[in-house]
Amino acid sequence: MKKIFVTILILFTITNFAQDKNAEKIISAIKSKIDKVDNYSANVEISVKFDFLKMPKSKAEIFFKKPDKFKLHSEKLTILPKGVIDFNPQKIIDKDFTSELIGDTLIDNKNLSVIKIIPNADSIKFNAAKLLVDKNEFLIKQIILSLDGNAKIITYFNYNDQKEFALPSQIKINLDFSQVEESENKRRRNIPENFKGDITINYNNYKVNKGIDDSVFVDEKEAEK
Amino acid sequence: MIKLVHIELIKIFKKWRSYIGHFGILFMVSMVQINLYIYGENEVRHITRNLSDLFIISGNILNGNLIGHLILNAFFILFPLTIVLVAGEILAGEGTGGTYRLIITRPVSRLQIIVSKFFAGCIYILSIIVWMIFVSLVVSHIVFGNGELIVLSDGINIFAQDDILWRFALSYLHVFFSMLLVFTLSFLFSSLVENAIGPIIATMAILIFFVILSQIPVDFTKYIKPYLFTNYFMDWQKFFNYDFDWFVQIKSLGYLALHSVIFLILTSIIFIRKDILS
Repeated sequence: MKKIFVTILILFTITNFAQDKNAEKIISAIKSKIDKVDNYSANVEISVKFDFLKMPKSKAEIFFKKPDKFKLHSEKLTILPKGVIDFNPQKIIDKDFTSELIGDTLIDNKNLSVIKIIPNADSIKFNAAKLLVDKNEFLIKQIILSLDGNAKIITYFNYNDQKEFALPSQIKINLDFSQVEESENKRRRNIPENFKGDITINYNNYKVNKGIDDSVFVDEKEAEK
Repeated sequence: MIKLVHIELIKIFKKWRSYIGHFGILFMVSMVQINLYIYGENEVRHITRNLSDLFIISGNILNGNLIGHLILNAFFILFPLTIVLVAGEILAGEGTGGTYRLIITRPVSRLQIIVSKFFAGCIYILSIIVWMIFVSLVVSHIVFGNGELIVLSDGINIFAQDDILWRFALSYLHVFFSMLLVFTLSFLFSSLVENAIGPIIATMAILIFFVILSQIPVDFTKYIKPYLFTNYFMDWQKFFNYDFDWFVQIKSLGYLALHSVIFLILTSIIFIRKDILS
């Protein structure tokens, strides 16, 4: 399970090294958009539908500041998957990927470039990944990730008013680990290895580069001590 | 009938042993609440141990709803013990006190006496449950506040604040029916003897025996398990699951109620035929 979120995190960090010139151009353009973000806050509404995790829709406020400060604030009990909500575009640059432009595809009447990502290191735990990119606006629209054991993660991105920073208005993640075999030594109580599920995160009320004080990122409990 | 029930209630609540359950619940629950008030962080860490490296968790986990649920889980086992202390004596006590002839020679039928004792017992069970709700839920809400409830069973279920109280209400209703069964079983034994110790021990022995029987890891237990009423006692927990089956839960309640009715009928027959002349 942990590797899922690590993998998702990697997904957001693979938009970097490219050997294919065309792929490199697209990825560099995306990266330059992301680099514009110094800090942001947003309200999120998240719905998680897993076989093993059932919860009502939750609302929270998220804060991000370069290089890697992240804070989730919610009055209500909120459980959000790591590596999805707190992905840090600045963590990019794991240089162990090769990217290659393999063609175009038409989705929702939009012509998207398909970039194949090939991991160079054994430590990277996915077999293959594809980025579907809107090359006109330089926005990632879809990530398709194949993992061991016929596991698959498909992430869909929608954008609204923060296209210039490549910040999504909605992320939908579809995880299918139903074919994965349970490994006894990794078994966690209440969290199975094989499951199916969806995560949907809606972002609104973005405040980008408006400045966020460092005190926001201090844990209240730590501050009390 | 109301007067008869009132008399029976006076008999129950005049005995100090009837309050053992209430004091026991108050003591145990207070210990848990004080411990959680001081070391609540550890409990939260324990609950979220499996989750914290995969999920970002924000908000108030340690709240009145969680504590109410934890306490009901932990101290459910106390309920039968508190019930049998009263139910075991409700008829046998008349024998011990030598008041059988006195009550039976009054111008009320034996059935009325049994029914009034039964209703008095129901009110006693309610008093235990209401007390438990007060000290575990109400007090916990006052001390720890309200909040969403996280339940770790069959996966992870998180319930919104407005989706919790009805689940507690149904859970306690189920607990009531479970305890009613315990009461009627003890009541039945109480009608057979003239000493309260026997029914108390016999009821607890049967409960423990049935629980052990259903836990023995051999094939035949899965065939007999559905017929053991103790198997349905913990079904209240299913109300804290998004996917609980209403039909299964109603069946569980019906099964418990049916047992109670059967035990009550048997008690009535035994008591109506009871020889008080020799």
